[in-house]
Amino acid sequence: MSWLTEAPTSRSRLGSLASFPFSLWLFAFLLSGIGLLFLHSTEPTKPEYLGQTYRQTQAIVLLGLGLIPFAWVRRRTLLGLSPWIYALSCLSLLLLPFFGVTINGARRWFALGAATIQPAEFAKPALILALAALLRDRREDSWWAGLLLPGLVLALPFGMIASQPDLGSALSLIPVYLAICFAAGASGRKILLLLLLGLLAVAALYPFLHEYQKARILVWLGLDQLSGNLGAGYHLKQSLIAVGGGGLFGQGLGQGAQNVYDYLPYRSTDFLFAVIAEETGFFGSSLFVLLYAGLSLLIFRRAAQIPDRFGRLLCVGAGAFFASHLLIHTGVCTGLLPPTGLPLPLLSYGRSSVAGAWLCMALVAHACVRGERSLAGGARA
Amino acid sequence: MSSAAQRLWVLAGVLVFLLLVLLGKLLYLQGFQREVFVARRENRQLAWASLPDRRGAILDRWGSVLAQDEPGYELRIDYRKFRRGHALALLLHLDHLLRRLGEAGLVSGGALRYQDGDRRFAEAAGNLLDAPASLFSNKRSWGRNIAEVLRFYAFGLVHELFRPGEKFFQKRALLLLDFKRKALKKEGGTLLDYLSEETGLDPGEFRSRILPALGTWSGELDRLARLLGSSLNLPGSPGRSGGLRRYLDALDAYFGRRARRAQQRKGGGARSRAKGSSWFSRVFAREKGARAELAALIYKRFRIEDQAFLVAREVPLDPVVALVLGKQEQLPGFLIRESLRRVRAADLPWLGLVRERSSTGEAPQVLLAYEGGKLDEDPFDRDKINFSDPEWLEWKRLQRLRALRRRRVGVDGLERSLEPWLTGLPGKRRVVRDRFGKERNQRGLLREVPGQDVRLSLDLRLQGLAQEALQGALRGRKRTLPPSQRAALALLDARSGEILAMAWIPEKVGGRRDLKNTAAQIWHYALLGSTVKPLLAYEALLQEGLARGEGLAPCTGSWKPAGDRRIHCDGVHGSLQYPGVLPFSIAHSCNVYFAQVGDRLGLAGVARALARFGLWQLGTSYRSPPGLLVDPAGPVPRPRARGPHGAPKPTAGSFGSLYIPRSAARRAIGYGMEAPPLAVARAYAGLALGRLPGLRFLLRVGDRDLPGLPSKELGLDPQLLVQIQKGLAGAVGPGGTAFRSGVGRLGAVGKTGTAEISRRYNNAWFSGYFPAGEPRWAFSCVFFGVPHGVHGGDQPASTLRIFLEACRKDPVLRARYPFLGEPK
Repeated sequence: MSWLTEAPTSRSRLGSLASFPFSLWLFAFLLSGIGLLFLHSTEPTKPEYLGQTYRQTQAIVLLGLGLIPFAWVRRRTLLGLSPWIYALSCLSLLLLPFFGVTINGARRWFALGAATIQPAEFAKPALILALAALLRDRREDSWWAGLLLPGLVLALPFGMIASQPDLGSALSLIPVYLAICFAAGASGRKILLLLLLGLLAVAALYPFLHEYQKARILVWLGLDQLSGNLGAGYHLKQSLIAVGGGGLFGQGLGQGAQNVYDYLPYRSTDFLFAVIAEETGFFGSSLFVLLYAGLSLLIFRRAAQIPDRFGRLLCVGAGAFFASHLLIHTGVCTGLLPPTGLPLPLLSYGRSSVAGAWLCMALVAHACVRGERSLAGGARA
Repeated sequence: MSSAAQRLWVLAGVLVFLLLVLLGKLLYLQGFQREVFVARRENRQLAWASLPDRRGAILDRWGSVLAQDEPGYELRIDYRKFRRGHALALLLHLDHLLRRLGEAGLVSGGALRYQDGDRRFAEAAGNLLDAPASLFSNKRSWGRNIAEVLRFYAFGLVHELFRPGEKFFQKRALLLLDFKRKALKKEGGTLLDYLSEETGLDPGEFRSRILPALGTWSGELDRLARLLGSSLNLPGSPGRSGGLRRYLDALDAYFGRRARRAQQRKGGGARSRAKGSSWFSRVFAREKGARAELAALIYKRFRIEDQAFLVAREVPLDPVVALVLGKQEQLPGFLIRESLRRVRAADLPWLGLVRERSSTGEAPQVLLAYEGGKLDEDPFDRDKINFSDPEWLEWKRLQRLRALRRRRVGVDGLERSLEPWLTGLPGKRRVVRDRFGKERNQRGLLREVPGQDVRLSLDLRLQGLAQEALQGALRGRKRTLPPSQRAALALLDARSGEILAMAWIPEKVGGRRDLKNTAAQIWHYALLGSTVKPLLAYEALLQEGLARGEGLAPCTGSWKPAGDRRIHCDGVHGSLQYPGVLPFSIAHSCNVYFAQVGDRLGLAGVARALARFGLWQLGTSYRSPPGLLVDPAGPVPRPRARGPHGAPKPTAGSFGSLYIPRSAARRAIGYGMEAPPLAVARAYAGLALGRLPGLRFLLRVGDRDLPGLPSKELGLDPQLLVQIQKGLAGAVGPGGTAFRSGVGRLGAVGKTGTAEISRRYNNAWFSGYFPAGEPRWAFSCVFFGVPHGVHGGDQPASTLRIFLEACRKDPVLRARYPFLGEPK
């Protein structure tokens, strides 16, 4: 337990350079580097992918370095801005139906010249910030203050993202919300009950899902072989072939047949893990999963070391963000979850996704650098 | 430990637990199920591409090409792509599906066919727009899968026909899957209402664009159909042929039949699958009964249509390639593939190079493929098949090989008979294809083995001239030709037995020469008539006194042998008792003399006489030119209902008892005696040189020289032989039976023969050798089924004269064969 709670020795005073989480930052760069490696592997397989590695590298360097000063933003400033940031992200989601562009039947992006921006990716750190700000001084384990009020904060972006439709991104917000609530003091039983109610709600809302979403669920349950072979199940089938075909040792970097011969769809974004699994096999993909999970665990560790409640909740939210994306993304690629499009933060191609991930990292850095001992919940708990 | 730390510990624990689940799944997929997924991947990505083997060339003795393979192109169709991308196909399949669902379909009357006119398709498209939009909703009783297919066809069609703009394109994916929008909710809303609402196009504009849009699609299809002609072999219907639209109808029906058969074999579609699945599937399986069967059938068909199907082999390159490649938008699914095409000497239509089943006219230049039949019976269950199973691979290889051979070889003729040498073995490549079927990589290569070139003993120039002479003779006839008029000319090198020419003209059926009829081929039997007399003569010379006619009754125009009817002679030749009677009787073809000779010799003597010259060898038959390497069979006694290869033969009943030889006397003048022209020419070579040459047809195969059969010394007394040769010279000299033809003036000698084959028709022969002094060529020319009154001295001898004159005029032939002499 000590590894989780022990404070870093280098931290002499708040706001010092030494308190910046360089190790996490380097870890994030390492994962981004792995991502670039596999983006490079997918690049020659399709004309549309050409230049992705370069653009992604640009985004990583720019954001990874450019967001470092964010750690020294004054706490009060950030707290003051958090409702506005949340409102801005909700507004951007709200404007999507009117000004967004439709790609593959979904309206998830704003077009800025040749580039596109996906507001849902920015809504994720905004939600973390909003939830942390909301729960930083609410300690009572009540339904309203501990779960329902934060639930309302979640509901707005959740609903708007789900209606784009982007159910994957929307669902990835739930673990973040639950983790922050739990870390803020909500009882485990209540959370389990909420989860159960959520499952029942999903069953009740099933008839209102889009047809393709229903088809994906049926295919995942193995109830619809026809769609499983032709339409809705195509992604899942190809992903399973890629993962399974990788075997224990993989086919080698840039050698994955599903990747090279263009069978695996969205392989630079929503199915990047399938490429990793195909080309590095069980050992490589397991190592990758452990590394990625290591980032979340290290963030949790940092959270335990942070004395103030706001900073800790920010870290928990960011850790949950990375963990939930890892689990959903890999779960979809391995058939543990129904097919849904969710990129792997730091790795998948997409500048919005990269920005979202690095903003989460910036929140962690801010929590580490600008901790307020006066608000330290851990000391009093 | 603080409460906050404990909570973080719980979160970390949950994460670790979920990670363990994930790693367990990874281990299951990548460790335990790897083989399954690798097999699935290879099943989809790897394919065999065949490398056509070059078929050996057929060359004449001087190296001129009779037939050879040249690079060409073939046309294939990926019907799945065509069905999903062509406007007519989309309409047709939508109509078929609605009918299967118990709906009225898109057109009144029978189901749509590709052969239907544009009006019917336009009516169908119009009716589709007026169809209630709810027809395509998931709410209908036939379930989501079928509704999705219906939507696929309907929206695909709208997409292809109207091209309603980028906005609609972008929505298409969603529209296909999600069809519960505004117009649907309106009571009585039609598809047109829905489309107008979605695309912003005026409903009237939709209607006004139907006919021109369909016309474009239909027009491109018809352009291709015109280029391909109307003799495409229809899939699944062996022996039947038609144009492209008929072909598409047949292909569609064929896939439908195969899908139904496959489903029956499997024993029911989705229901049986549900039974085999988990309890969860059984509980929640939503589609039951007939609609589940239909959904499964649609899926089965989708799987079956996964291979490109051959439409036409040896397509005319430029126009077809330009059309197919240039109009992919309107001709989806059509593919051009490189192949080899067989090119044959154009001026040799009747050499019997290839004998396709459907060829009833000129020699087939374009062989159109697909033979169907047994090749279609797939003994393997494609859903359970292991694609690396060697048994399956071997079956597949043989299937392709058989199809290939049948297409390229025909059922008879030279190509077929030389098959063992000409054929090679197709190679194959293991290729990797990407998602769109494009070849991206190669995994393995089994090189093709080309066939061997064959050099024949034929001389293409002589062959051509012989054929021209026969054709000219038939064209020049003023009398009414019987429908079975046909002719043949065999020319041998008298010394080596090499066959120099074997021209033949098949009978006419419906005004065209029928290549299917094998009866006129040069190696088949025909009644001989007086052609046998010189062959009998040597046996007569050996009998003391017969050569001088001792004891023979004079020729009074007829003679009655014991136990047989009276035998008539063409002339009254008077006394037959003088030393030169034999040459005289040969020259004048005296039936009375030879009938009495036959009577004296008896049946055994007649048989002995003919056997000496390689004839009358019972039990042997030869079917094709390679068979000529063995001694050909000779005349065989009747009755003999059918010849080799089922060639029609006259039966005893059809000829009446008059033509059944009862005595040796009648046999001695050629009644009931049959031989092929080649065998007769060989026998006359024996008369010319006193040596029976072994026939030789193949000179060289690949890089090996094939030796001919050794000649057979007959051991004839030259002085006796001279008397026969005098008789043959007499036949072409003044007063001889072939004098009028003028063939004697060119130096050829021979014997005419006229065999009654019915009450109205004869076979007319002229057989002999050339030149008379130093024989180099032996020949036999026969016209089958000429009317009574036409003799061997008329058409056959004249044809030979024309042929020899043409040979003399040809400088190349004069150089090759100096004994031809100078033209006069």
